[in-house]
Amino acid sequence: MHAVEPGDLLRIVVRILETQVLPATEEAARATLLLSVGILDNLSGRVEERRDLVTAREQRDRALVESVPERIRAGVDGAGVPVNRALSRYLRQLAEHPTLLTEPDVSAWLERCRQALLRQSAEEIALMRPTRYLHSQRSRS
Amino acid sequence: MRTETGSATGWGVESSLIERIRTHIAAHWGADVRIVGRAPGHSHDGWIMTCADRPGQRFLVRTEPRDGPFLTYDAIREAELLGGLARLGLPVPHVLMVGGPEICGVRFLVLDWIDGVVHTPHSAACLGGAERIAYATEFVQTLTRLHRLPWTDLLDRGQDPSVSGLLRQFGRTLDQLVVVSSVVLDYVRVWLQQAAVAHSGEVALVHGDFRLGNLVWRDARIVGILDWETARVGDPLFDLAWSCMGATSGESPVMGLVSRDEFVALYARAAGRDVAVRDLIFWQVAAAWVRGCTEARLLDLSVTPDRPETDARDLSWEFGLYRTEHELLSLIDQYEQGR
Repeated sequence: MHAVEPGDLLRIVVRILETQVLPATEEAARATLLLSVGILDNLSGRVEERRDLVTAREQRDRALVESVPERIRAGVDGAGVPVNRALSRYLRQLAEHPTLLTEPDVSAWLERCRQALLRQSAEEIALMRPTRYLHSQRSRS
Repeated sequence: MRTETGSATGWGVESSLIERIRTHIAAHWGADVRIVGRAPGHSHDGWIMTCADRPGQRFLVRTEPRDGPFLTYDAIREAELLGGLARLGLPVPHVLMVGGPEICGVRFLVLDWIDGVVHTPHSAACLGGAERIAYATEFVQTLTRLHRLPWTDLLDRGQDPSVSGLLRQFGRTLDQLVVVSSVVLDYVRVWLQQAAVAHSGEVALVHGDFRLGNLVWRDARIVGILDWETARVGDPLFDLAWSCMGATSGESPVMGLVSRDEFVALYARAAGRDVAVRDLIFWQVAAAWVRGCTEARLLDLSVTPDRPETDARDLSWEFGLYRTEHELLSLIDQYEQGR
């Protein structure tokens, strides 16, 4: 059996919705359908890449969790939760104890977080360019 | 005319709720009240009505949502604020009725409908050059007028106007997410705490959602300022930064009207104060973080299992949140490079 790539399948679904369903849809449901088509359309070009991004994000979070200063780690139970949740818990611990923010090791770790988040965000946003649907939706807000 | 969607029938799951409200208003006013449309807007559920006794007039009925972008709503507080603002001459909707939960299960407001045009950044960008400057000038003049109001007469004096107060308020939104999580939003909360020390500024009445979508225009004049549910006491630069949403450089367009540099210069002239770029960027980060918290909440609500209905608009925050995170990190990068 020949497997259709998920992105190709989504593109076919989008085309069917656009050419067959949208023209027959009444005004009341049209905006919702347009947005739903927009979401599928936005996904279709990056389904495979998205998988890679999730992996890269997990690696980033793991590296940051492993380098968290002991003084933050000591107050948080980060075991047994997904790595992104553990990272969030450490950051929330800091939010609750702002006096730690002036400690040099904490400042250095936060700077490492900032650089890693910025680098990954730039890669993600390149794949998240809004489609025509989302672009038109945003212009109305 | 302001945009309306929907029809006189088919209100779906809310039909019994709005029907109870309609019946209550009709009994209270002693006249036939009809539902003529669904009101635009995302933070509240709203319906447009007419009353046989008041020909030519329309009314907006707004109910507190069960699960909206904000954790808490207080229709009574908003009604009192609107009353105070109207007395001070600000163009806001008049409150015609405040309803309690005993009537339909949620609190609601009945407001008069202000006729005019609600622009979008797209429609504003289609205006001529001189018109766009006139609109931007009216925008900042109205904003500075609002910021000069005696807030102690309008809002609870016990509010915390500091950045910490803002972080606590919207940090609760992050803490309550069930499915969605954002390391970036958690990181930015800490960054704002760190950077806030250098940005303790003025205290004023802050609208909290001052943008084109909440303003009613007649030509280049603002005749209505809507949606005051996020009004609070704080630094007025929050409203300026909120208006600059998405503008990450001096050349970026603000609401399709003028560039960020031009917009800030107009504001500075109207307010009679300088606005340092560093202050502006700090408050842009704060504003984008607040927006990110509400986007994350809406997305969280839409993907939480076993919810009776999902709004496709909320699902689209899957993309919006990435954009907001990138905006936040880009702005912080600019700020840090300026150290």
